[in-house]
Amino acid sequence: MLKKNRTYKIVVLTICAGLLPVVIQDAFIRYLMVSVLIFSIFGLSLDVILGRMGQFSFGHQVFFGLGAYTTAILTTKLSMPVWLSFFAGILFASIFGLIVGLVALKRARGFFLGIITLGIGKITWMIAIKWRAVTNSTEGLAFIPPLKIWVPFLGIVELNQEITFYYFALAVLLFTFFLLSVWSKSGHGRAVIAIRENEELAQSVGISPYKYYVGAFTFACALAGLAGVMFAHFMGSMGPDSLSMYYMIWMLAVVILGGRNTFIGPIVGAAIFVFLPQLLVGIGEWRMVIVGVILLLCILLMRDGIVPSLSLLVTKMRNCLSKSGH
Amino acid sequence: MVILETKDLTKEFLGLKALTGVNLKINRGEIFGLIGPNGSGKTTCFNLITGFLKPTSGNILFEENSIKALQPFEIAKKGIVRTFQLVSLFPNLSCEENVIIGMHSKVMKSGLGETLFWWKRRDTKLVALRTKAREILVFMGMESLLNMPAKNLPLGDERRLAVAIALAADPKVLLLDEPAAGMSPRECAQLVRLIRDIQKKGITVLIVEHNMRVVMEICNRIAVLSYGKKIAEGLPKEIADNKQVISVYLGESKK
Repeated sequence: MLKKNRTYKIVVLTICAGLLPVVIQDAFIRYLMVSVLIFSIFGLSLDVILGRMGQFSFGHQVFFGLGAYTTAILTTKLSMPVWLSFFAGILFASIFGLIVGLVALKRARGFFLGIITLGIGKITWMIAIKWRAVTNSTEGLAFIPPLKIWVPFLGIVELNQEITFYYFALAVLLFTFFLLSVWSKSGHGRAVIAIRENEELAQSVGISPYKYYVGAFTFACALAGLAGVMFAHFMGSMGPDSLSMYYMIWMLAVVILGGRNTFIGPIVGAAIFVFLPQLLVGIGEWRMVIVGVILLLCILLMRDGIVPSLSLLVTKMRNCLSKSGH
Repeated sequence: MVILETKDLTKEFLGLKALTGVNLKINRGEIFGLIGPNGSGKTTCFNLITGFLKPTSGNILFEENSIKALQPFEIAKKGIVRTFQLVSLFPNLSCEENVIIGMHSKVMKSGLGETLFWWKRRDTKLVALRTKAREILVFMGMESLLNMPAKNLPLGDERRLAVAIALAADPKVLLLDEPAAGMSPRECAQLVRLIRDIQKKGITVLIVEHNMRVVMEICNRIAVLSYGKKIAEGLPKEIADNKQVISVYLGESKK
């Protein structure tokens, strides 16, 4: 019953999301909508660490940036086919994630892990700035070719417009959903939750925290790489900003504000973070102050994040209504 | 037949000798009690056997193989599963999920492939896991608490759930660290019945406990620790009459 209900919700939401660009013709808003989708994937990947693993990472942008850089360098400097570089970007982000996980998760947990990942973030950012021959330093890489896909009835479509990329990104987001839901129900996902809840007890029933945490961390990095690769091909150009703390802080806020341990939370968070500053564009220089105040109020009033708090509210109201009905 | 053996087990914490040359032999299928005043090294002994601490010297043999260099999760996989003195659960998960996690090492055999192809068989597998979890909770008399989050349980049920998690891991040797602490006499009586039922399943039980009534009632053999040394070992009746044991617990009588 519950499962049916959930499938039903997902189908309705997908159809709504699919109809959105038909209703909205404005190219800039469509551009923002694609950004929301890409940052949702990035947010979901960060939630694997923050929510499922219950750990801190202040260097998750590294894997986003690495994915973006890999595909950008491979296509612009080595003229590799886009799909090959697309997967090479994800692969490279995952391998680097695996190495970082193997080193960092041996002992470090919580804030210590945060500090280690912070250091890694700083190092990769410096490399991207200084290694001019490969990365073009602060100017970054431009003319990244768009992705091409084959669509029935239409033939090969170049994803160089917001509307085409929107549907592609929506499909990838759904795929990410599928991966995450399969993973969280699998033995691997359960083991990770067990370690988050009680590492000592998990060990005492035969769960290796190191193995499962490294696995989950690598999974999160692969998803971040996926978001990064899509970002590079959508924007067509990218620079060392994608490796900077700026993204990390925003993504942290996206996940915390949207709600950890939820599927919808990071999407809601990403939508707020992309659209809110644009909505307030008319206010001028006070804009970011207002954004800050709104975020502060959200966190003070809804400590667990928007989605968990609202769903709790809905349940409470339902209970109230059913009580008064009897 | 000996299933678990410690040989000259010694543990020092920065010069403090927590355990000195302790030899224990636990036979397959028995209930073995480990008693002693607070600070005598009982929990240290548990931590050494389960790999949470590494011994300074000495050896631990399980089914005649040394396990002293293994990680806690490896020892658990071999079949030595413990509970903790301070109740340790997965607080935000339901009782059923707690028990399902306990079964983890029996379910996850093929690692990555298991995860990747999980979705093909996930429904049948989940049903099987749930059925097994329910069986264990019924055995523990907790079937009504299936969906209750572990953090909402009263103390007695918390302790029983901790044992249920350990049982789910399908142990050969079960180590119980003060299972009766803070329990009412009625709950103690339930516990005694439960431990006997566990023994009937063919599981060897090693128990640390302060409640003498429980210990004397269920243990086949008992060892007594005092200041990290074993001072006595034998049948419950022998231990109860042992002068040294009585003096350790109650002090010397003045003449």
